Amino acid sequence: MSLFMLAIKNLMRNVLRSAALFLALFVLSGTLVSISLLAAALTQSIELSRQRLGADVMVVPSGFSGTAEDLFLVGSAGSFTMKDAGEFQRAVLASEGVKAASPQLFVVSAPLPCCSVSDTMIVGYDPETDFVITPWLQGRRAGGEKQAPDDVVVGADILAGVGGRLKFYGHEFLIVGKLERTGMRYLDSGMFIPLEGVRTMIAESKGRAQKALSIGPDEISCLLVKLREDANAEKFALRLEHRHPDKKALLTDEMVRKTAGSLAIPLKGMALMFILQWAASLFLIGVVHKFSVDERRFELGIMKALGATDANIRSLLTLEIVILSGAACFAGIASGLLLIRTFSSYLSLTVKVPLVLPQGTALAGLVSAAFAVSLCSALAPALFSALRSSKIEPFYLIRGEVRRKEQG
Amino acid sequence: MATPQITVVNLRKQFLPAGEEATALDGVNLAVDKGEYLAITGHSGSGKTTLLSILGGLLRPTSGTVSIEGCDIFGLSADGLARYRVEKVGFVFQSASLLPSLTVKENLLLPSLYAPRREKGRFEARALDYLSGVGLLPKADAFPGQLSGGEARRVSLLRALMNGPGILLADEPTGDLDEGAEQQVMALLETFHREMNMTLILVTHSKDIALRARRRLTMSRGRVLEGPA
Repeated sequence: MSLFMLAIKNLMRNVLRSAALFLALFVLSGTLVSISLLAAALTQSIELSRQRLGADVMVVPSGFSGTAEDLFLVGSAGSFTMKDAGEFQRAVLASEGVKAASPQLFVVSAPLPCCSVSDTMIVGYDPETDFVITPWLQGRRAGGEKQAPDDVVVGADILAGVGGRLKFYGHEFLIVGKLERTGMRYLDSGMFIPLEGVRTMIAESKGRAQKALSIGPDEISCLLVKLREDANAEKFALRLEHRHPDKKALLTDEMVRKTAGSLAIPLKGMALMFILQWAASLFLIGVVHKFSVDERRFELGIMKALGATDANIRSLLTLEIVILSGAACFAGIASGLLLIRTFSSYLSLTVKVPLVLPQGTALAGLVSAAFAVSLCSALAPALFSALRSSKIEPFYLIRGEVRRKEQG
Repeated sequence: MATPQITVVNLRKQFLPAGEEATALDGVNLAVDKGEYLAITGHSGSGKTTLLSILGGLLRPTSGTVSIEGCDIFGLSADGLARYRVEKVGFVFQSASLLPSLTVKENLLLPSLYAPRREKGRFEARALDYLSGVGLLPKADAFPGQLSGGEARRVSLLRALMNGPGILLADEPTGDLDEGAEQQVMALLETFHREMNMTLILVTHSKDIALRARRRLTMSRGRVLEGPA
């Protein structure tokens, strides 16, 4: 016989009461961790997206800024091009404040036998000038070996491994590398091939594929620009759009912040809902616990008559709520984590915002904080009832009376 | 002359239910020697249960003192009073008062949770020994709901004895039992009183039960009307 066993038996005696408390705390902790994870993911995604995309400005053809934003932020497959790539790249490189500029060409694989996988982003990039793809190449290639035109580097979500072969528009590519996981679908689910290889694939598509690609040899989809630290991205974008009215310069920071901002209102709504739910849970826990302790007065009185001190009674009631709420919070937090992890990609696509979930220490800290807040929410009202009941004399507890005023 | 084990001096207890003063005990004086067998009788509301509860440390008096072996128990802290309840006194309630979620054996082991020096093995052995002695060993793992009234009352009595108290206080221990069960419970009480040289104070409505005691007191309106018989 131990205090722990006694607490467990008491909890199991009134299953309905225990289940009500468990459910209230399960929902509370699950909601808390889910909202916290989403908020953290959203906040984090602004900075991480900027870092992971590597570029400060993305120049795309005017009229395709929405498609480009969807493509970069949530990995929606899309294709658009602009002409005179070489000349434009040279002009940008000559602009004030530009540190590097690298072109990319986007092609979407077709749902036809000429492509191994359909509706996947094929990103043609220039290995010589690239600063976006290469940093994420797992282990780098041996001896810094240059990627050949028929080599493909795949994102972390692509199941095919290094050494495998993939066919796009009738042209076969050898998988020579895999990118590290970035948390961004654009990088994690794309196929990255040197521009030269993509251009050959486009040229050969007329004879080899069921669907011919009509992209000219001097067309690109976007030019990724990295600026010097002292350069002003907004001014650069304004100047560029003024000089090239058929182009749109997307600022990475603004792009991410704008889409993240669109989620601010629903997120505030969720936070308000949580506060209301939290208050309701506190009330429910307090009421259920008060009724529970009142219902057990006789039993608590017997324990005191047998020698239990006020502290023994408090310990028992506290232990019961710690066991119950600990288990409920653990289950709620685990479910919340699972839910968000499972549906984060879907959520990201739906709301068109990159969600980079916290990892490692940040995740551990967030989970610990959610656990502590949920547990304290359960303990506070329960401790109040426990403290109140533990001080009542056994005589009154046994008779089920509220302590009566005494004279003298 | 030996000092009494229990000395009660000018004990008063007043309640104020709904603004109306009610005197439960009105200047009770009492001395009980170690090993005595005392029966307290009286009408409902005469103050018997209140007196027994104060002797058991379950209720603080309004005024007066209760000394057990020379120690004023209401001069003790709340923890000290709890220690008195676990070490010195056993209490048998009007109802069986067993915890329904615990088995018979676990109910007997409950006081061991609060004993200052817990020796789990010793308590377990004692619980099984007691149950065996009253023929309830086969019911050790049964829950209180599975016991008859007499069985539950005997288990309740055994639980009061688990810590080896020097004083046993019994409040209507056979109140709702049939004659057969009443005789069993009384026999058990008296056996322990005799064999362990324990002071036994019982409150009863029954004159037959009171007559079994060596000393009898009657209470009325919070006062002890008769002295030792």
